[in-house]
Amino acid sequence: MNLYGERGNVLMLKKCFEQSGLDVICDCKEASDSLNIADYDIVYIGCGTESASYKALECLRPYRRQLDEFIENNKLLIATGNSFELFGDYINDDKYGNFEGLKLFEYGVSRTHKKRFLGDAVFSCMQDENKIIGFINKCSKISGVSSPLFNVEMGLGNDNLKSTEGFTYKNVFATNLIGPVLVRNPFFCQFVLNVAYKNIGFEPTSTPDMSNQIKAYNVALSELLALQRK
Amino acid sequence: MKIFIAVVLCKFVYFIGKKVGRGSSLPGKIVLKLFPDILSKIRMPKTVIAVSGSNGKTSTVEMIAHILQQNNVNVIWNKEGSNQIEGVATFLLNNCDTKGNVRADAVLLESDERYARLTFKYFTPTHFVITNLYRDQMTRNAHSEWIFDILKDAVKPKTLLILNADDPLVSCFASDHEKAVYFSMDENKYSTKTPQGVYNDGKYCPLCKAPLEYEYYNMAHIGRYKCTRCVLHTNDALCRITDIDLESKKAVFDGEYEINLNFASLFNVYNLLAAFTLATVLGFDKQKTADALNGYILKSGRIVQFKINEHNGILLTSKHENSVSYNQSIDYIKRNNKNSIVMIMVDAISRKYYTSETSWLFDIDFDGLASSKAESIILTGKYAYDLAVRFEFTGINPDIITVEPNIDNAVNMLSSSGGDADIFVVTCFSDKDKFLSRITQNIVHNN
Repeated sequence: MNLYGERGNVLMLKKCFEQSGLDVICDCKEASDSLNIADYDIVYIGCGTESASYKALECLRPYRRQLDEFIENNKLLIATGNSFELFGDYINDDKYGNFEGLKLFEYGVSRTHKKRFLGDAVFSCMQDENKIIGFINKCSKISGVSSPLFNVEMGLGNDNLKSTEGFTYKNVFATNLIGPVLVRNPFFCQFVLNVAYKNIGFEPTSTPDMSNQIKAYNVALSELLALQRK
Repeated sequence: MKIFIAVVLCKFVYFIGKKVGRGSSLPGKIVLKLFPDILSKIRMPKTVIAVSGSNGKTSTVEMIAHILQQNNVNVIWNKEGSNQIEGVATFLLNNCDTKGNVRADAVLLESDERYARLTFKYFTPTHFVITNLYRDQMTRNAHSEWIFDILKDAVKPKTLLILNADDPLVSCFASDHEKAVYFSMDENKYSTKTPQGVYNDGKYCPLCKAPLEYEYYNMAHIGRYKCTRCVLHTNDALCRITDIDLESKKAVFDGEYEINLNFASLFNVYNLLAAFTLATVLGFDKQKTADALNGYILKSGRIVQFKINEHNGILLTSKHENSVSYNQSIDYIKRNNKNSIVMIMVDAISRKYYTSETSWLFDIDFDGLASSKAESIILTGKYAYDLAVRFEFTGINPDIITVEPNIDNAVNMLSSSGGDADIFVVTCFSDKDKFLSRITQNIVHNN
């Protein structure tokens, strides 16, 4: 589940934690690996092809209870791209068939292989005043999200309209934005870092250097806002 | 009558378009609007060759055209690169007589992966070369499996497929198709036992999702593989690269046909091999094909040589949103034995559409530059800071990196640098003229 440079999210978190004075152990799990999710403070899952996402779904199914406990214990779960679709009630796919989701949350997903929903995006964030930038690249429509993560200002939301996007519950932060979302959104990354610090009871000894991230973010944001105004 | 009107209208609009500098797809667009099925009315010659894939389409088409011409075949091809249905319509109608007969012995078409199924709804290629399927322009192409499904619709039962055996996904085009031959590159001194690059698209079988086992990798997920569960494996090839030496710029085909390479990259060699294989399928003498390809300089080449003061420079045209293309440029720089200055420019991500999406930078193996002789790296263009962020996650010494979004200033840094280090500029078609227009006087060779 690393289709659009999602590994950048892990690199970013690792760098920031290390610059904050934390020692970080980062495990990348393969489909054949066994898991003890309670051993971890943060779980990250990225985007995959539709077929890969069903493989991931079957790999995660035995860990449903562990994931549920992880979430209910307020631990930090970050999902980007189509991965958060796996956590819902069902996925109906017009090519691969119908799948039961992990049923951790109530939303349902319909996927089509006849059309792709693509585009740059600007979202406002309910947790932070800074806007979120990124790109949506999916073939799904997500229904029944009761607690979205973002408001759509430009681009596509869960239902592919200009409405709301993503999902949040306790310390689950999930969005269909692809790629290194935390790299491209330094302010949202800082918000996530703060959640993680609080979770483990850690006071950062120094602040991560995100100066280049902020400059890159400002360039892209101004471009996208200009595009939005057209 | 319909075809008569279509041909005359197309040629007329094309003529006017040329006068006012309009693109080559407009005449086809207009004709298709009036006659949506006009392509089915065209009488094609006996040989219709299509070439598609993520990378190498234009180069492979040009090389096939050259081989055919060397064999006295009257071939026409869409050299303007308009590879979507409107461009193909313009190209074919412009080459028809008023009765709709194509005036050539063979038609050769570069075909966009997403549009081939629309084009080949109306006529069927006799031969279909598929070069590779990589992560490419994913802001519009979604992903390789998505493109596979779309391109599969363009494959008709009567068509002979010429496939890259080393690409597991491309091999799948023959999973339910009887007529297929393959090309392949043997293990060589550049092959590796572990995956190349920063991601591994060859980890799982595209057919059954079981792990793939590789004997070796040639580039990205291209190599010799077999599925641990199902039948998918590297098929026996009709034509092979049996030896290759990029330093001396030589490749050997089928154990006996040595070809001098004008541009020494594995990418280019695979393209040559695809053209060589197609020529073999058509029954041309292999030695004559090798002679045609020997030292062939692509007109659509991606290399521009320049000289700034004492610096010899090369512009390596890569594709934004295509990590394999960038990685090939980085490999080229790594093979250079002399100290170098590397400039990477990302200013407009595409020339065809707008996006600010830069996730693809994280798929490029920029770490490769750490083992090059780069003494200085300049990052420039609108997205210079995205590049700077990406470089923060490499093992490259940050002291040699300069971030200069202003392209003028970045180019001035090249011209004001002392010494005689080689210069490599890595950028895309969408951006390369922004560099070349600033060094017009310094260009030595543009191919």
